Amino acid sequence: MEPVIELKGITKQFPAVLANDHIDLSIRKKEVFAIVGENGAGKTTLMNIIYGLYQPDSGKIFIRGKEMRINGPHQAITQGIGMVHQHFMLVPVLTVAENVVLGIEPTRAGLVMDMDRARKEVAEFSQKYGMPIDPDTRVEYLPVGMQQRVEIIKALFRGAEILILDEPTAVLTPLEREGLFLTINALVEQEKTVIFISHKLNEVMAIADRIAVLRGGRVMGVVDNKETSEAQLARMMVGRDVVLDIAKNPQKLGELVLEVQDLRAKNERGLDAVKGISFHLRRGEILGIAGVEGNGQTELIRVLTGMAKAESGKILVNRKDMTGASVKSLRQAGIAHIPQDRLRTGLILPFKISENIVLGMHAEPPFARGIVQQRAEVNRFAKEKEEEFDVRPRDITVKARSLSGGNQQKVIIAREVSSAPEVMIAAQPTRGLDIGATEFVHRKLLEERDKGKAVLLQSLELEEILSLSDRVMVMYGGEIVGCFESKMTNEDELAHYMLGLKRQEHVDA
Amino acid sequence: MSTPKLRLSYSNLLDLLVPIVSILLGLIVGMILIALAGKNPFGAYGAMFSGAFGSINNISEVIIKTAILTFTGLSVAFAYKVGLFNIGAEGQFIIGAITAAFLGHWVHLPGILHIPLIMVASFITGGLWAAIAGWLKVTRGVHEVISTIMLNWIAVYLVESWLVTGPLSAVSATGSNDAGTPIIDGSAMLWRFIGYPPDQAGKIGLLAVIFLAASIVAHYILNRSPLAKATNWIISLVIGAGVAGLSSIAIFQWQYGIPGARANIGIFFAMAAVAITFILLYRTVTGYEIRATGFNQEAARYAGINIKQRTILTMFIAGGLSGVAGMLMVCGTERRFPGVFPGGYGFDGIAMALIGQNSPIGTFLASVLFGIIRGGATSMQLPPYEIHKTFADIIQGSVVLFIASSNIIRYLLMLPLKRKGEVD
Repeated sequence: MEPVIELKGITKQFPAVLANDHIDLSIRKKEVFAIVGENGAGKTTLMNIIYGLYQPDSGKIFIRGKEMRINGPHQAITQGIGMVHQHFMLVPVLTVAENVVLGIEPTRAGLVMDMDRARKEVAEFSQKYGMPIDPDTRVEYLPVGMQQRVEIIKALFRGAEILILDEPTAVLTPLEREGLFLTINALVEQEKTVIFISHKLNEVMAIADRIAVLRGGRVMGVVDNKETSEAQLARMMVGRDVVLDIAKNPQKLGELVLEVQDLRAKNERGLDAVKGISFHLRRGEILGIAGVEGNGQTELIRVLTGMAKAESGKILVNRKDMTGASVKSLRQAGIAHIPQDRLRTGLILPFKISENIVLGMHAEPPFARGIVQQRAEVNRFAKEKEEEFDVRPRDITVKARSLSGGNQQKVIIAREVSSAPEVMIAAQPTRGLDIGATEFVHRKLLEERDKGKAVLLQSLELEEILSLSDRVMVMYGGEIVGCFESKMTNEDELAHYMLGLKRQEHVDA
Repeated sequence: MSTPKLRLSYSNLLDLLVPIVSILLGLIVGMILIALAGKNPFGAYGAMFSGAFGSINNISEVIIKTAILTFTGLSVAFAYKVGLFNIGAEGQFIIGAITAAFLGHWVHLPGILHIPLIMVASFITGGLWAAIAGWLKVTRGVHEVISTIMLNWIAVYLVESWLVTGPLSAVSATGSNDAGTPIIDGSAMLWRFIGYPPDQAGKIGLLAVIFLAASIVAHYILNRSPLAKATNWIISLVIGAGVAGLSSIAIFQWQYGIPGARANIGIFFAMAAVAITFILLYRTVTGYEIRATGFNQEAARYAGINIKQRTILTMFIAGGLSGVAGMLMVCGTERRFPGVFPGGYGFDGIAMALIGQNSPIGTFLASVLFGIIRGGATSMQLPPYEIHKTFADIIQGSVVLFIASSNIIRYLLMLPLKRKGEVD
């Protein structure tokens, strides 16, 4: 079959890295073509070249058999290429229909904007591709999954035949992800081609027809979905065998460290978010919190770590009442925290690695004597941890801002693990990380458990929770609706609880 | 891998180049304006230069201005580190000044106690004045730009329109009370080390400075030798004492100070303040927490830092620095709170901090430069140039504008690299 896009020898050199190294790919019509690779493998660069945002240093692009030079997105659009970026480019205060037609508004007599027609066309598109959406809602009131639909409709409205989706599932809840996959299937049925960029192998296996694996700017191979497996893809991506199924050591359960009794809390908008939660956590166990985003997990963790105040209820650490304690005293009591948003919460981006790696311990000996910082001690510690946790580059004076996501997370984990915690509270610790870094984080969390620490793991990835946790509790609507031994349950069962279809009569968490 | 490192250092260099290029552009704008007024810009700049350095007296004025600008500049730069824009340096300056005028006249103490007392008191009153804005910010969410501007006006009316003309005013011979506050005690006046008549206290102060400077230099040099810490200090102090002793022969022989040279030890206070703020910000837990709060409040909270308390503390210190600036003016040159207050130093502090890129050392260098320009501008008023002394404000204003548009300058400075294709 005639390929719609053919790339021949595409090369792009950046000052420090060869982002794309003689890439040859050919993408067929009506297929879902996935491009996988670790962060920094060159996926996004390649897509930006196709979309005209970058010019390749050498190489040729053929579109429907004709050689093209794509000088900018505008030209890409006229060639029928549409792109949905990771970060949406929508105007929040405009409605769905207004966003879709922005820049190419239909007019009456060439002057007056014809909103009725815009609305009708948006409705048509949304029906045709199975993406129900109300054209008159303001985009700012839409959940992320819906906003993504607006982006897709926007691209289709501009005549896209080839749709590039750059890490489209990174921001989605599992339910929204299912919706996206249905949409992709509908698109392909309507003769469209979809290029799907991801580093999540299970998703790629679920949706793609063919999969190209990139590593270090090179194509490591293009494989047919039916002829490959997650393990093979992982090996191609990372260049070595990756342990996808984590082998857990037998559990050595210790005494009770964290006990939560009938905890209630409000969210930032003052609405009830945590509605009477009780559970306990013992040494040597990982307790997972599963749930669809927005069911009170974030608020629960904020309260447990002292970042927000509880309305009522009790938090006991080592049988000592710590309800309402400050972040500082909770840290001193042994609560470590890997926050869900490493850029906003976990790091001070303009600070050096050495300054970030003592954040939270900065006022304690040996890093400070009185108010005087012991810089030699801080630097020694930072160097040691960089080595131990394999933070790259090995330079403690580099600013956290210029690290890759995986290395940023390593800095945070190095710090939180070294604070010698009793309880490690990890909120979505692998969000946005590639396979290698994810594996590293998982290993560290298990090490903590095996050292006899207690770990509370909140994640949106069911697979992650099931493979790491000893017990799993499910949050729905601010409550714990079920608690399971992870060996005794599966994704299907948990999903029913996560969606509120089922709940245990008596939850013993 | 050498390329990225090279780029990194170039971007560091840019941070330094941007203010320098802005200053040069500001000076060029000044020249164009002088030329447009039909005068010779080079001659006028020459007059400005000789106005700044032409005589000991002129240098002396530059030193005075530099000291005060350094304090108000540090005040703004320090507050910026916690993320606040301290527009209120002027008000804190006035509060510090009136405190100094009050304690200088109505409290009587020997000089060695009087000056430290006034300095601490001016720091505290100026600091409390600024802390009001910090407190309003953390408890009520009042934006500090609004509250500090309002506090400026409250300070102006409270001090200049009421205290100085009312309760604290000196009644002059004619019975009118427009002269400001009474002259402060001699013990409260900052030591003038080159002034006339020879000021014994000033000489002692100068000797003390020589002693300390020599000791520190000796210590720094000896630090590289394998001496024990204590021995090193002892030898350094002995060397310092020796140097000071030798200098004392010259200094006490020196009977003829320069009439009218008002330079005082305030400049040494200013240099000490630069060192102290630097150490506080970059070598202490407090400074680390202040900077962490300024960069990312959420992450600071996550680290267990009490951001409210840090914010108020930062504003207190910032206000204190401006308060000491007011004290330098009263105890150094004016010797009272004058009826017509030579204000503006607080607002100039904003410019010094901006030009100095909010670093203590940068702020000091900016203050030296504008001390020179302001001191020299006075001489440009004389024939044949007759350029109004507010000309210095024009230069300062245009430099600030260039700094504010630093992205353009950054872009222009990056062009040569772009052409070589090293930057994407």
